[in-house]
Amino acid sequence: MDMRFFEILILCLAFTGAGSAEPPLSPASPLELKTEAELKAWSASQGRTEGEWKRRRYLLDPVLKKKWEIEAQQAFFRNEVTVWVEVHRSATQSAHSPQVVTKGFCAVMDNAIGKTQPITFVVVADTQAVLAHTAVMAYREAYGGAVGGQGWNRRLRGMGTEKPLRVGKEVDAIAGASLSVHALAKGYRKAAWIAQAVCREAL
Amino acid sequence: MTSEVKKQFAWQRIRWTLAGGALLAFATGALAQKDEFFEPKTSLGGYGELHLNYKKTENVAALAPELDFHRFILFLGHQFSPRFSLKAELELEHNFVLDNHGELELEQAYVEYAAYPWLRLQTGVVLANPGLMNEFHEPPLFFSVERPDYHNQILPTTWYGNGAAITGAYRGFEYKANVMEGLNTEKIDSGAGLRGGRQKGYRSKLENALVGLKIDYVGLPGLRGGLSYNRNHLMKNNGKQRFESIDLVEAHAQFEKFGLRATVEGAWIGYSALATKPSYPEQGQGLLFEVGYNVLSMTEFEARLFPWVRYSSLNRAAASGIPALEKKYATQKTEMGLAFFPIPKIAYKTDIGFESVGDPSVETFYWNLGIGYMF
Repeated sequence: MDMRFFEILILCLAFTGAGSAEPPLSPASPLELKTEAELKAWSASQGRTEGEWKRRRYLLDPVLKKKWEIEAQQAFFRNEVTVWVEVHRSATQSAHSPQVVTKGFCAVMDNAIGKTQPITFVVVADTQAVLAHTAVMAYREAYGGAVGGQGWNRRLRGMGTEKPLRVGKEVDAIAGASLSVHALAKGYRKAAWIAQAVCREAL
Repeated sequence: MTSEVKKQFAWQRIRWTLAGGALLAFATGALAQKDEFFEPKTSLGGYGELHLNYKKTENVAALAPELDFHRFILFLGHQFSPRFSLKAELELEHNFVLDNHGELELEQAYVEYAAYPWLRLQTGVVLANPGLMNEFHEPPLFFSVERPDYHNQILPTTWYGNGAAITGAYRGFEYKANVMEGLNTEKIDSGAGLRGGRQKGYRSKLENALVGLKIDYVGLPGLRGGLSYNRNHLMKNNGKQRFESIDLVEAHAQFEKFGLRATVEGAWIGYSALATKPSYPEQGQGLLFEVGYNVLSMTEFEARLFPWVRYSSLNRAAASGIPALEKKYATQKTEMGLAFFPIPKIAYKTDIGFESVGDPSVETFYWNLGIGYMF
């Protein structure tokens, strides 16, 4: 991905306020609560107990959305996604002090269409769009649920998303889950790019 | 109370408990929370394959190669609610249908009720559960131009019929339990195997249902391995009955990692024959080994190119009490080929095969070329 383009765009958005039209935050849905629990469990497993996850709605910029869709060869499910920013606990406790990203991890909950149904997943990535954690939060198809397995997702940790995640190479193939595997390999990349944008904004 | 009556009473309690548990699980599923990402919609999909087939048997004049658009399938799905959906597949075989040429088939048409990821009910025209291919048979999912003979002669892929299935996935395991139309006893023999006995949902008689269960383990990345068992007290066809029952035991495993894909499948069919006739088998057996390697896996290319080899040993009358019959259907086939996937949903394939049926000294040579797609 072209980082220079990305940085210029973020700066433009910051000055024009185009990306700041953030949808109002409604109470957490059951899937968002489930995702928050997943994020907390991941933080605990990494020994990152000093921070907490702050939820936001994130409206995708139309230009950036189109660019990412072309690059990943997959359409976004909706124009907005739920994102979480990992912040210092002390920062959130003070009403007046700004929130500070601890180590720049952000999470994105999005959907990718498998055969016919959306697969809801969460991706944790850093400012370099490197996958730190991925998990399937809701699988709705009759076949191919193995993509929700921890083992399959664990292999993706630490992978960059500049290049496609190729099935049979970076991503393990799963017999009987072919469409879901390809859908998530693309969806995870797109989510990582959003996480990168959110993290950089937050910094 | 005698021990026999006690035993019957205990079984009845177990059955009622299981039925009550299943009903409760489905009911609580219906009351579960709404899905925020649900959108009522209709989906269209499908797959198809064009084949060029050439066959030459020793000492027999070769026929001209044949071009055949073997299958054209349209998939239609509709999501009524977060829990209820319709899935249907309509298949046209060999371009058109006239007299005994071509086939138009409703291979799947079921309403699915998804109570939980581990509990789904499918009702309508459903797929039987045995093997790796019956439920996943789109051309870009297998190497050869034609489906492996194992999935024709031993497992009658595509095996579908009217009935119901309960499926689900839990902690690395997937299962599918079927209760569906049985096989037509009058159409089963050593030449056709189980394949001839499929009722294909055509005004199917439910004298005796096919009951089966498959369990797969998919918890290890790249692996799908499992077992299935199906039993059918066969229907009587106008009072005539060749077999009392069939038992089908089957095991399968596919492992794909580091560019390598290896597949092993094996099945045993036990026939309980009511009479002994030259065409009635007692057992059928099949084995398949296949391995392929993506030679582009070490490069930057997204495309995949698999050279592959396959060996299969099949016999629809592995035991019959008649040695000549057992020998007649003993089939050995060695195949090798190239499968090129420029993108995951398109496949260009070519392969050759050497087959002996009955007499090992008489060999038939096959050459196939094909293109397949899915979407």
